[in-house]
Amino acid sequence: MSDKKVYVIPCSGIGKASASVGRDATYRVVEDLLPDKADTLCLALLTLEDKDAQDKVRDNYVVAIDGCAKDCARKNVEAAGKAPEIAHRVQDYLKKHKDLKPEAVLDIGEGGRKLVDIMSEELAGEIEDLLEGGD
Amino acid sequence: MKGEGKVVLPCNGLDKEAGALAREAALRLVDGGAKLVCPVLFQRNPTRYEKEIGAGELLVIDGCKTGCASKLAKEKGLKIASRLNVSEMLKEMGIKSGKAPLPDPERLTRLLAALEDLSEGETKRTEDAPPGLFAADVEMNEFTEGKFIFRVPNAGYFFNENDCWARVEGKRARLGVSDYVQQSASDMVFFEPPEVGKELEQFDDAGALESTKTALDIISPVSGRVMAVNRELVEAPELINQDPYISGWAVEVELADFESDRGLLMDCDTYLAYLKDKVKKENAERYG
Amino acid sequence: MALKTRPKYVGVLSCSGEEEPEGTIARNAVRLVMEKYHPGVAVSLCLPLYLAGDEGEQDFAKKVPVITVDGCEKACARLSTEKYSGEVRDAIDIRALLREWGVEERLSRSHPGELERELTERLALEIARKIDDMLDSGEVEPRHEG
Repeated sequence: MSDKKVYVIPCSGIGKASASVGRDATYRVVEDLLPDKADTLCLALLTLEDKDAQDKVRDNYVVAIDGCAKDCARKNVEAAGKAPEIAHRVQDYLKKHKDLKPEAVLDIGEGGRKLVDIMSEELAGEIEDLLEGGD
Repeated sequence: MKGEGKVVLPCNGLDKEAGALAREAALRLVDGGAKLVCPVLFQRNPTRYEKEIGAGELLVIDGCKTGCASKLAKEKGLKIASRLNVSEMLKEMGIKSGKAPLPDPERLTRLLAALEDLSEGETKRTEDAPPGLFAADVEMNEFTEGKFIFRVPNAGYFFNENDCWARVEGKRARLGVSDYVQQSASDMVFFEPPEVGKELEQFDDAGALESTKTALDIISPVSGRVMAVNRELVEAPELINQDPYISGWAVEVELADFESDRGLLMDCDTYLAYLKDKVKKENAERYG
Repeated sequence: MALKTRPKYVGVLSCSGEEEPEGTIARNAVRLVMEKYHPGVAVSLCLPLYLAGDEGEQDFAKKVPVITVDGCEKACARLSTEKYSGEVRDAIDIRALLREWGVEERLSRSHPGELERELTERLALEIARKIDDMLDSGEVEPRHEG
């Protein structure tokens, strides 16, 4: 098992409900499912060259969660000098669960919450694998 | 496994079973008539496989989410006709791939059986446009409303009032939805193309799209026969959001009677003016 | 004499603030201003998109007055605006506001409850008032004139 931690970084885009889903899924993973193994950090700090944020990203694993195809989380992590070990878009989960569309940015609704459940469980599984050296 | 007409580019994953499975799948396709592109040699010497790549449809096989083979293909500007991801396929089958780098025989058998089913169920080969069509660069006009920039090509496209476009070249046209549609509908997550060979009347449905916000049909601006569908769009509907007028094309048709159809369409300049007015009115209605 | 065109919009840029509960309050308050208090005038700027170099977001912020809303002293929204688009019209520091309001309770970033909702509403009104001032002074063109 790796000694490293996993930083799950959502894009937190303010314009789309899918970004809210990504953010909520992040919180579910780092607070409820894997509180001892995963944490989050503010994406903007990376771009503004905050040393503490840069050190965390450099020395640990990173999962980037994007709310749309603009891939801001992945791109900003890469711009900080590191490709995330795992990168997903909320849309990839939506493609598999078309009936679970989030409703609105401020309240993602029942469908959105179920999507958060599914997404966070799958992410937690991938993170466990990553820490164990698997897929 | 059927491989005729295919050119297969597998990943070269040595540290995971999924990479070994990808390699095995590729080799079985080569047994079935496909041409193989070695990813390592291709990276060093891209011209080595020029002839093979030009003569078939490219199938990329990735072992895992890292997607090295897909990234290599994109980096080298290759047109990917279809894509397989071994880890995802196994996951859908409820199988977890192993950590050891050598392929487990049982997992390999089950994967190959699934691939065999896939290749038999493949839709019939589409008829691609003669080379050179739809290859020219397209210049855009744009206008801004608030922080949103709306783009419309400056020539060669014709629009209907459903904000769908036809890019006409000779006797063929490519169809798609405008930048306004992708901005309004938000992120596309699903594209269901029409059947190749289908005859379309002007304003018939030419495929279905679904975004995170809504479902919509592509309303064909022209009449004609469907000759090809954009398979990359089926795999990655977000291409419409990224590039709605070029790589986000949905359907290609052989035109039936464009001279007649064009009377009910807007050219680029007319559509630009129409769209400016439409966006202004929508904002006024929404915000008073 | 050239007529100077007044901007019709006010840009509001919140920090993304994943780590801190004030970040969640910042984002939600900005959405509230945009959806409820000043629809069609307040335009939220997306910080991650902005930082990723999106021309729409960065150019827009150069043409309109921008209010930044930051959840902590790192001030990502304010610093980003100063770096990429220039002047900040008004900068809100939520922690300073919370101190002013005498809020001492521990807040939740992921499960906002009644207190977080009240603070979000209060912050939204604070932002909305700043936009009211800009509209009243004529700095920003009102949606209906005459």
